[in-house]
Amino acid sequence: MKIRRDKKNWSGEERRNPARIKSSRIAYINKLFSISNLRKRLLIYFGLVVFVTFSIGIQFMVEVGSGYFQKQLFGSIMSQLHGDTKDSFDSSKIKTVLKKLQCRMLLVMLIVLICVIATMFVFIRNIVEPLDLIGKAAQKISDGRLDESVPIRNHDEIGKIGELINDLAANLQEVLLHVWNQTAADIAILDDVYNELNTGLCEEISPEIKGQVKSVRQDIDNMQNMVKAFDLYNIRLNNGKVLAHATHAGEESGL
Amino acid sequence: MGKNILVVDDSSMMRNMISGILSKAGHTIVGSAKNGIEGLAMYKTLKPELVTMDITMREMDGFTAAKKILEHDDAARIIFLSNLDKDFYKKDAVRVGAIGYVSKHDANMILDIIDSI
Repeated sequence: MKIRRDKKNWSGEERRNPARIKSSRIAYINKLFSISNLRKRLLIYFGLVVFVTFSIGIQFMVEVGSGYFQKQLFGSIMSQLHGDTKDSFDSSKIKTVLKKLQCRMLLVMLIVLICVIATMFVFIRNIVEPLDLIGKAAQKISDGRLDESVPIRNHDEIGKIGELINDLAANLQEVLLHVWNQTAADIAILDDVYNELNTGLCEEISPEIKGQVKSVRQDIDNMQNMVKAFDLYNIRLNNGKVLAHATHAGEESGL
Repeated sequence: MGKNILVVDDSSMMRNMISGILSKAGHTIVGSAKNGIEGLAMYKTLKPELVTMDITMREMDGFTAAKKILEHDDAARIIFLSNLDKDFYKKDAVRVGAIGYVSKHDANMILDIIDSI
């Protein structure tokens, strides 16, 4: 996994700070060796493939190189030969062929090992890493961080899941802002009503009704507090108004 | 007379809601985009008569997209449809060259602007 370190914010002194360097190295090492459950399972599966391939290959090589196997092979060949051909039989040529066979088996095993490792890296890069990123971003979004989004690397099935999570966050933000705008308008109306009820002109209004208006006002405050509990994407809630952060609505658009 | 309209909004729920309001009023939704980049590309290919544009979107925000669309076609008609404070952003929308600004919680107001075109 590519480790991102924000170096641009480090001053020269901080960069030379041994404690900071040590802690960043420890974080780097921890990240390098942090293995998710999915990675562990993947390592076990690919490890099993390598183990089975090597077991068969080593068994074959040991068998071919053993004196018992060669004795049986030569005995079988000799039994098929007659007369002069039997006398001129040279077993060293067959031994050379067997050695070549062992070497080829070793080569096949190495190729299998390289292929398995390459497949594992491709699998981790294209499937496990994006899933890890989706999991981390989804966790933040479920914690109310709607300013987070799932990074979309590819538009395959995994990328589609990321897009859907981002869309869910965008939909939730729309609902929350809708609640905020409606309640902000309601608060203004309720405050007017409450002030009117407290003027001398409305003496005949029972305290119970005044209490109910106050209670509704409190409920609306609670709803607004719920909205405030979320971190919204590029939005700040200021005195009942919904404003965008200047970096997007103003600076980037050149306004 | 119904118009061909492109809807640009990062929320699928809002795209559906806006499309529903416009379709019921007899307009045709020629496309819907989820950010400014998609919106700009779709405008160039679909050439709609009108664009409804959200403001806060990832990838490219609505103001930037509107500016780029108007650079491509200065006759483009864009209406901003946003949850952002109308009093605060309406003047920015006009400065960009949009023909209107509607708050999402009053989304039906968009029909009045379209009728007045």
